[in-house]
Amino acid sequence: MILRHTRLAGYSFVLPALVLMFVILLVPVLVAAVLSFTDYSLGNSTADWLAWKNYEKIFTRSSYQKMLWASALYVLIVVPVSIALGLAAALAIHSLRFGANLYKTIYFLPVMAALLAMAIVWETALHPTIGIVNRSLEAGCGGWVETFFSWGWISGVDPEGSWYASSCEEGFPLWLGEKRYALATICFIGIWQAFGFNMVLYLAGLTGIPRELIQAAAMDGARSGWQRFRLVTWPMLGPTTVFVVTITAIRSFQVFDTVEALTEGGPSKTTYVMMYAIYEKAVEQNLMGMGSAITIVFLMLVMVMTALQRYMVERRVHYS
Amino acid sequence: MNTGTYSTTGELAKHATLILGALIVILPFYVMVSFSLKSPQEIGTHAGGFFGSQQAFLDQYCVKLGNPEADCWRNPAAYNYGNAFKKAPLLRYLLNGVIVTVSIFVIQVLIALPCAYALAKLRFWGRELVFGLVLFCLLIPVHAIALPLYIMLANVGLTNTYAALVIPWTISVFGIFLMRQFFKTVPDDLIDAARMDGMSEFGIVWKVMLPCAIPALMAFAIFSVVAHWNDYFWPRVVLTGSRDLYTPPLGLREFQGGLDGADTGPLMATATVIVIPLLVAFLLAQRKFIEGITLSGMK
Amino acid sequence: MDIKLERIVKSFGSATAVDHVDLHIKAGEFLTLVGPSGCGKSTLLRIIAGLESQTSGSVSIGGDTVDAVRPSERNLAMVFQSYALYPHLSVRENMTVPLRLRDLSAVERMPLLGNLFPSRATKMHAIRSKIDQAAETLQISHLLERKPGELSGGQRQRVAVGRAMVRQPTAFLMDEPLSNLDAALRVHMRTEISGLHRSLKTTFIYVTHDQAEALTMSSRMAVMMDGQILQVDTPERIYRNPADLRVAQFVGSPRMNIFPGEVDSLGRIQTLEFSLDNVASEPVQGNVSVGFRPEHLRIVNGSGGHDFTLKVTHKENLGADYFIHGAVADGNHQVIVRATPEEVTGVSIGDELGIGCSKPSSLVFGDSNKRIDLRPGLTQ
Repeated sequence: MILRHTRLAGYSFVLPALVLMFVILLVPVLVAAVLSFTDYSLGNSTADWLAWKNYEKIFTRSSYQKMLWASALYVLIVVPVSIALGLAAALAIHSLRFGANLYKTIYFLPVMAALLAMAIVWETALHPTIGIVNRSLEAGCGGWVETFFSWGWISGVDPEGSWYASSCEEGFPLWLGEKRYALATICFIGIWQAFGFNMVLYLAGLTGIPRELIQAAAMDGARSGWQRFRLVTWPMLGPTTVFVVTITAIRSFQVFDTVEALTEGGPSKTTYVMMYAIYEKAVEQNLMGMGSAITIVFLMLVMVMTALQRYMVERRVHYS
Repeated sequence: MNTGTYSTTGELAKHATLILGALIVILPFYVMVSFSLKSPQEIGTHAGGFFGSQQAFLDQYCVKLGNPEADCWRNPAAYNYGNAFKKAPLLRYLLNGVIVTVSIFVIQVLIALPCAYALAKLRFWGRELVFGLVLFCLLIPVHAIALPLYIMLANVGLTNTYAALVIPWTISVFGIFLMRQFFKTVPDDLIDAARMDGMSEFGIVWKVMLPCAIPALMAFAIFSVVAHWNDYFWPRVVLTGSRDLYTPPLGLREFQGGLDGADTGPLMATATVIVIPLLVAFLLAQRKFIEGITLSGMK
Repeated sequence: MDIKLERIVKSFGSATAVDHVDLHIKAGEFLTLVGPSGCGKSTLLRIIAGLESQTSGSVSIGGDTVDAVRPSERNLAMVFQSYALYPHLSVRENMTVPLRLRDLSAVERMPLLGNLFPSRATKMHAIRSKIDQAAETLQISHLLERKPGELSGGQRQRVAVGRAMVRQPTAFLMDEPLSNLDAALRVHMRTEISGLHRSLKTTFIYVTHDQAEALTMSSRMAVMMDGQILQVDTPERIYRNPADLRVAQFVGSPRMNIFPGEVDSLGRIQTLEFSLDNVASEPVQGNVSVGFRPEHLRIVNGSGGHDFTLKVTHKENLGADYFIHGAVADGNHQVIVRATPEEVTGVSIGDELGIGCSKPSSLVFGDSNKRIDLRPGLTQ
């Protein structure tokens, strides 16, 4: 029978994917879940059952609290800033008369480049002696640049106490080596890399907004660009925003390359993000139980975020 | 945002801001390429502008080895790029990168296409269940389960192999999802016509569906290749021994770790070699690339 | 070879798409399956093709049951509504596919290895000449190297027919092949397909929802509704002698006028304000439907001699003919009357017209839409 024939084809086509889905995606989740209750190490044939001890540690030990804090801080900085910049760039580029494509291309370059390689380049650029950043900042000392950025021209500000002036005195920071700056620098690189991606998604969203709608808003009395943005553009970009927020959040949660290459979690665990913690605990120290526990916590967070996004999108769009 | 009226000052202000942003975006690329062309002295003193003076310099290491000074004068660019390939097996890394990304893509397609076709066009009991599973698996990022995967691979003795680099990526639920959505738009008549012509279901997947899906497949190829060429985390986890299997990012990191800091030029040359192929491909086919990289936005 | 369908049933879950269909398609005839959309005609065609499997019943071709035979091995060719040409292949390659798959063995089809077999070259040569011949017949020789995307709708249609033709199938199955064409081309293609049928002398099974296509092209037509075949006959007889009220209403444009009627105990039939001359030949009694085609009504001038009056609501000018739309005096029934341009001069919207009926041409339908035969009444 024909039906049986296509049905058999259907099963045989789905089977390889199904097997791989189980072995590569679902079984590991279970493995991690089980191991997270043990003190398993590679090479040991047995492991002790620790029940919830690993999880307890994650939420009570200060080094793991620092880990959660570093991850949260990283996500909370990178997501809003890279989205705001992405949106701003998209709006600006979308309204340009010429040059739009050039900016689009340039801003998208970091998305394409291997993050690890660019992290190493950033390290060079931020190097205290040979780095172009500190060197340029130093070049500004004593001249009008210092005068300007010391904000002395704003009444009531003491130029001597400003960041720029004091840095000129005492030297510009070791961006990746100082507790104050390390996470911010890692965030900066993350934003530098991510915002072009968000920009492109917003540009796609913007082209999807019918011109008539914005013209109608103008006819209805939304005079300023801001009013039109609030009335039409921003609501119309809603689905894009939902998507951009989740995907950026999930990606930021997975930050690893920059931390591993530049700070290795330091200084004093200020950049000790979760992926790095998993790597360090499990791969470097062979504490598979602990690594698995962090993996499970991590997975929960990611799945909650994706499910949340799916729920918000599904209310509008349906797969069929 | 505009309603058809433009103000010149507004336009200029936008350009000024965007140019400033562009400068920051380009900065590391500038540093990377510029340093890869300069001699150590020029890097230390910031002399020579973008291209460096390209004057020969004395290779101190060469002198230390006891060679006569006259034989140790080097052209900076040649020295940097030469060392990038000499001091580390960069060619090997690049080859590994190609082997891994191509195998991943080919296997992903071999697995995903028939599955997507079955989910889109064939009727069988449990189809919706399988699709539900695909949607669920979309929630699981492979990086997040790297650790248990590593443990499993270690227990079957597969770490430090090409297989270890490829296996976790062989199943692309996203690819299945994407191709299924695309296949849904292929008319049923075409498939029936192929059946009347005597094609088997297997033949239909590769001779009818695949040619119809070329645009979607191209985008997916870019998505996949870029992600795996640039991936650092998974190779870092699963390769613990021999450098022979290192992918480009891992090789670069290894190179950096082994340096005393004086060899910035060759390091930047290595980074350039690793980053440039994708950037050039991107500049040549921008629209396709942007489409491919933002594919995940098509959901 | 004859194609026979026996007690074919196809259900999708609780819905029945095809409901106990028997059909005997004779070798060489042009049979049209016609009916409104959703009546099951396409499903039936797909069952014949083997693309769909029936829930019960059986299909036989030339006396052999083919229920377990795969579509490609039934030696049938199908022309699809959307033409279903492979978009990535040229016209010639599109036409080659079915022959290559049928005539070449698996090894001969292999990309490089196949060339080692001398039999491949001769077979490919035969295929090539078949395609050239078919292309000539269809006048698409100049299009052979083009891709389907570069062709117009009509040209794609021809290629689709060509792809079916080269196989020299037992029967051509056509699923609404003209409905994607514009009106003028559609009328033109009707004659072309009829011509093709005459010259090929092969069985054509043609599915359409357009009763005009069925009337103009087929040697026999099967009218389907709600999964059942209501009547199978020549177009003339279907038109003149419909066996079912639904058939009578579906076939013919504009639609047949239907009035409510009543049969008394003597079989006399009363409708509107008049009775028919003939009486029912069966002992039926009660409510019936009385149908008159628009050409069986005529405008009667003067005060007498008409059967009912009608208030004109619309005049439809078709050039050679007029269709007068109007409401019967009781206001409940819409009527369409065919008239010549001479008859309607001076008629304007809102006029009351006397209408006469050609009573012998009337068709009467009783319970469950079945036709009631009439015989001359005793009063005559």
